[in-house]
Amino acid sequence: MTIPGEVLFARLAAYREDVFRLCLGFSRNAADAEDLCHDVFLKAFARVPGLREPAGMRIWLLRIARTTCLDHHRRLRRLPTVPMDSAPDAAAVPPGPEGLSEANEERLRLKAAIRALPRKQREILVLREYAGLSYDDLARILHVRPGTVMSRLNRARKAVTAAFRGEK
Amino acid sequence: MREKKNGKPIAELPDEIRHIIRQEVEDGLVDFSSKDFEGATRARLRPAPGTARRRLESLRVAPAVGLALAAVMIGAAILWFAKSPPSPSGPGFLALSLEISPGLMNLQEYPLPSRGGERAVASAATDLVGRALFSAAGAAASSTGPGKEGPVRPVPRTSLEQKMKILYGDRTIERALESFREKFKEV
Repeated sequence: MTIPGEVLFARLAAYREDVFRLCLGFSRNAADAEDLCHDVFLKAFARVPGLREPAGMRIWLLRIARTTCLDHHRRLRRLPTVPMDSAPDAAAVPPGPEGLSEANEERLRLKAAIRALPRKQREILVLREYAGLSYDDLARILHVRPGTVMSRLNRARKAVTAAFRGEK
Repeated sequence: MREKKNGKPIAELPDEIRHIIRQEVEDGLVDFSSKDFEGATRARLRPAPGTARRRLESLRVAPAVGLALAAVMIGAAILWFAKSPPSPSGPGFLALSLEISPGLMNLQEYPLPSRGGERAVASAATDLVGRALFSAAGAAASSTGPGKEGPVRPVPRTSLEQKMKILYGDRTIERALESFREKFKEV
């Protein structure tokens, strides 16, 4: 049985790493990021008829990824469970006892610093630093002006640096 | 190159944080790339094997219920139409009315008022029926009047015994005896 829209699937799959980086930035866990990636592609395939500009497929896909990650976080917040990102991600940690402990410590500290940010700053930092989006892409995905992107990112970077270094 | 907004430089992340993020992303991508993401997504897009069969099995109940429902409906409809009288607007009612009163054929010639609707039609029909019945009765009376021979109808004749049976049933003999007693008393 062949899947209809094989060409379309191949075009979407070309952005799988961008989507994964974005999902990893939001979930901070490789396994969760992979699951979210699958969800994003399933949603995207279902919503393809609503795609107005095929040229803007990457932005469209990343926008779906962002909303999927935000929904996932909302669901997690409602569940009375221990969040996955409280423990270090085993798959993303380099092997070796020294590297393991150092990397764990630094990553946990960075996670805590990012989590302490206000929602908008946290979101833009993840999209910029993890997904590697340009200012224009950020402005299009977040529906804000490029100047807003820059000022928000400036505050986010300063805040996360201060939190990471233990400054007030 | 340092990014700027309105001439002011935008804060950069320190190298140590950038390194942590880069390392985390690279490790994650290595793990991600080692898996068959496209195959897994395709597998999720395809319906699971047996899903179609399960759906068909669940649908098998539906035709049976539908057939039973249709049979009940058809039976009810047959009973309804068999018992119900002909509707006033139907051809059966018209045929029956014409059979009773052939004068109704003149209904089309009867001038109807422009307004009044169904009530006017009903009154006109009643009027015509009345007239037709009246004229039919008059014609019958004139045809069987003095000096004229009407149609000879066979009159059913019943014996006294039959009449007694009809009137008194099993008690015919008792009634006959009672009537004899009364006659004897009189004598």
